[in-house]
Amino acid sequence: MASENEMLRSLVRDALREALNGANGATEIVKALAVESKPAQLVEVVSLNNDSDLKSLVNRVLDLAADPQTLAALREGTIVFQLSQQSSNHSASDSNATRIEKGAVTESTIRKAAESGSTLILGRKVVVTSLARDKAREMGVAIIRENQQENQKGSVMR
Amino acid sequence: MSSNALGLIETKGYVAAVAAADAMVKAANVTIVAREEVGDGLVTVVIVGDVGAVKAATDAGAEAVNQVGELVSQHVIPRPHLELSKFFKVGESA
Repeated sequence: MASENEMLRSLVRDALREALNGANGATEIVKALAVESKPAQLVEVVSLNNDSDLKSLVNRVLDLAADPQTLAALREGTIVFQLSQQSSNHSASDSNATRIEKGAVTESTIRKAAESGSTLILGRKVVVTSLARDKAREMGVAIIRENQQENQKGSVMR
Repeated sequence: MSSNALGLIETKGYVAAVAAADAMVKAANVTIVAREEVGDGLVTVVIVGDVGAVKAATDAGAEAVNQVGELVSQHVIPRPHLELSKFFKVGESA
């Protein structure tokens, strides 16, 4: 399930990258052909912060592909997608990580994190239950511990 | 009852320990075998049961402690060695 999501995500990422590269090329072509009054390029700005954003993008692409005319436009690069700048900058580092400073990480915490596709960053005093660790491995939720080398309470946390 | 796993939850504070113990025995088919107090408010509750049950129970216990007090540590030992019960009051695991 998680790996499927990951695959889908990377697929769309690749497709987007191609589309964006194509877009740059296409802009030049459009500029070059401007004298011949070609139809203007249609740019759609998308932001990819979470799974639902991704889903809506996929749906949008499917909708466009359903109509042969827009499909052709999509292929030619007349319709292009552009990642919204601020979202693409933040998605990797900030919004995909949940920070837990204290308390316990239980199975339900992991399940929530898996649903939102986020990574867990744990403070020094956070305890991860055995079941939560199993679940995290199973669902592919990454757990990152901060200050691992501080050994005063390090042994307590394991 | 086959008890082939040992579960331990250490809390800071007696109330948290009681909450943990209650949540654990309610969550799964486990038995409380010991309560250890080492001072400084640290209380450990020891349970035995099947591995799956013990894991589920300690998870529920940790969740309960999270609401009430402070969880210091938790651990699950599947099939603890017999030697353990000679020196630790963690109950026999046969």
